[in-house]
Amino acid sequence: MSGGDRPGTDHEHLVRLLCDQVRTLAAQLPPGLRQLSLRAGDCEVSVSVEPPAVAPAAALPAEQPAPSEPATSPHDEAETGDTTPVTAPLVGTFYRSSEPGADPFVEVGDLVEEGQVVAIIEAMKLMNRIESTARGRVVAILVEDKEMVEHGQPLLLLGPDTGEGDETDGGDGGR
Amino acid sequence: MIKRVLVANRGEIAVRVVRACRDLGLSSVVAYSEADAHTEAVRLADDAVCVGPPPAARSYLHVPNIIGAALKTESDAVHPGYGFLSEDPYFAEICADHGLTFIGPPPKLMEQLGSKVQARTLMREHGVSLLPGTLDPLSTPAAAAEAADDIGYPVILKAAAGGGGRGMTVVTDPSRIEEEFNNTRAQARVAFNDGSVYLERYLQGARHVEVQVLCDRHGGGVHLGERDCSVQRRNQKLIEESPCPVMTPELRARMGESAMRGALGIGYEGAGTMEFLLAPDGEYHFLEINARLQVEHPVTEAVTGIDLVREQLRVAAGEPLGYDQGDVRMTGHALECRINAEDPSRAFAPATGRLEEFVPPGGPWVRVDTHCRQGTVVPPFYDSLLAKVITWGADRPETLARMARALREFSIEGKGVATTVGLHQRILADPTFARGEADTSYLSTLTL
Repeated sequence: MSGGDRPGTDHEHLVRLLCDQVRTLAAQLPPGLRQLSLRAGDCEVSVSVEPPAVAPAAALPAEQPAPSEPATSPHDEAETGDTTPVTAPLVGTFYRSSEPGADPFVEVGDLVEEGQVVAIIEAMKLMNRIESTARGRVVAILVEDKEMVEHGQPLLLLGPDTGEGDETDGGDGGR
Repeated sequence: MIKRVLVANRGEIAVRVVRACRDLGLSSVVAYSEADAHTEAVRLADDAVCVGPPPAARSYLHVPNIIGAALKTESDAVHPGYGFLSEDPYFAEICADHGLTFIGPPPKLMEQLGSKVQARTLMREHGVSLLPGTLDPLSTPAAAAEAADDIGYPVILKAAAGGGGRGMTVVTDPSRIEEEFNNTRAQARVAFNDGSVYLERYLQGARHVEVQVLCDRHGGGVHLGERDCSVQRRNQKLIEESPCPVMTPELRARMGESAMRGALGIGYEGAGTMEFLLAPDGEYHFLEINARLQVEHPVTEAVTGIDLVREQLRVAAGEPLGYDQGDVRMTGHALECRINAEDPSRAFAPATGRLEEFVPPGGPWVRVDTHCRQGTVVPPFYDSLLAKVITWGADRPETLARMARALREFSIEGKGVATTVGLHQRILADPTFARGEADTSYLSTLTL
């Protein structure tokens, strides 16, 4: 950064840098960002985001069985109402259990902890354990076993941890 | 037989490949990062797969995610575009391992050509003239000094694993050679993971002239003439044209023959470019091979009437070219200006942001390759190329006049957005360029 010889240009430059930083941060933070402010010296850039209007997801009491098909547009139903999606951090094949024949890591109604393994995504023969990014109760599993998923695709939806249902130890013993 | 192509790239080149697929009746799938979810290539392709967050290392360079995207969509071929994974032999091999046709030369060849030292040795074996220089990487500063003394100053130190104009240092003062050797080696290690450095005589006032080659998998191949890309800033091309303003049919025949001898000799497949330096004395010397499609390919398409991306796809599918050198004609003159989101008045600092207004030119013999439109947010994660403007004319003055008209029409506005349009206009109006006399030192001497 240059010195204060030409304040007009410096501010302009500073604001431009802050805007770039806002964009970078906004892209990297989880969905649902509402407000972001960055300040440098006496320059501040503030961004407010109105959440898009979406139809509320059907409320699924914990006792009901999991839906037999994934939602038709899972990307739209993510982050509605009180649900938080666990999304795929990579591209690959989604598996609900650690190996063929084993029990699935989680079922609908299970309470999961943050960091608990909920699935495996296989890419180029490497098995990647997918950990839940939040604590909550599994409201829906959006992907079929052995289906290929893309980066950012919602895999399951977590609701608030109220209601009854099984607490799991994470399938094969968690972490 | 190729039916569906995964486009493992972004921006204008992704749009280009999608268009070629459309022309050939092939299905196209674009791999995109989160930053590119609403871009033109994604809009135009038949399908799209998100392969990661914005940073290239986690998306466009993320081999497992790209392979996953191809498998998920049952693509049978991958087009890598330019940059990113286009010259990564490891990626090409992984594609083959998964039954995917990589649109480019065989991995083993890519590996050899990726090292400029190996490429030079290969070309020498096929009788292609090299600049005086070292064939093997230099091991010590003392070896560099000795080689430089033999060859004669000025010399240029080059990273063997470098590319795209990076990793080069000119040394004019012998007392600086050892320090510059150490600097170049250190930078090469960081930038290319490979500190191998070699050395060549540095030619002042030379032209960068490259020959486009196209080879099929049946031993057939042609060259499609040359491009003059001498107008460069820090080894980044700004303007390219075909033919080279000082080319003669005789020189083109000789350079073309050298290029084909080298390409066919090593078993090249697909589209590739042989770069040469054309010295003021009329001698030409091999520099390196770019084993991929190049940014400036439209200039060759304009003068030959041959669709290079379409030919890449055909050749990759195993089709013979179906024509020979006698069938290739060059007609008229073509020029390309690379419009970047950079501010020439601020040392070409990236000047990205939202394009509030973006109205590209049109009209007779004007082509614009772009992925941008009004409202596009130019992300800070990738290169700053906004658009390529290409004009064709019956002769060079007509081509330049059409380019001047086109640049005048091009309207790009946005808060904090600055472009190189003004610089291109300045160059077009400059007498040295207008006379076709620009060499590789031209831009550094032009007063901006």
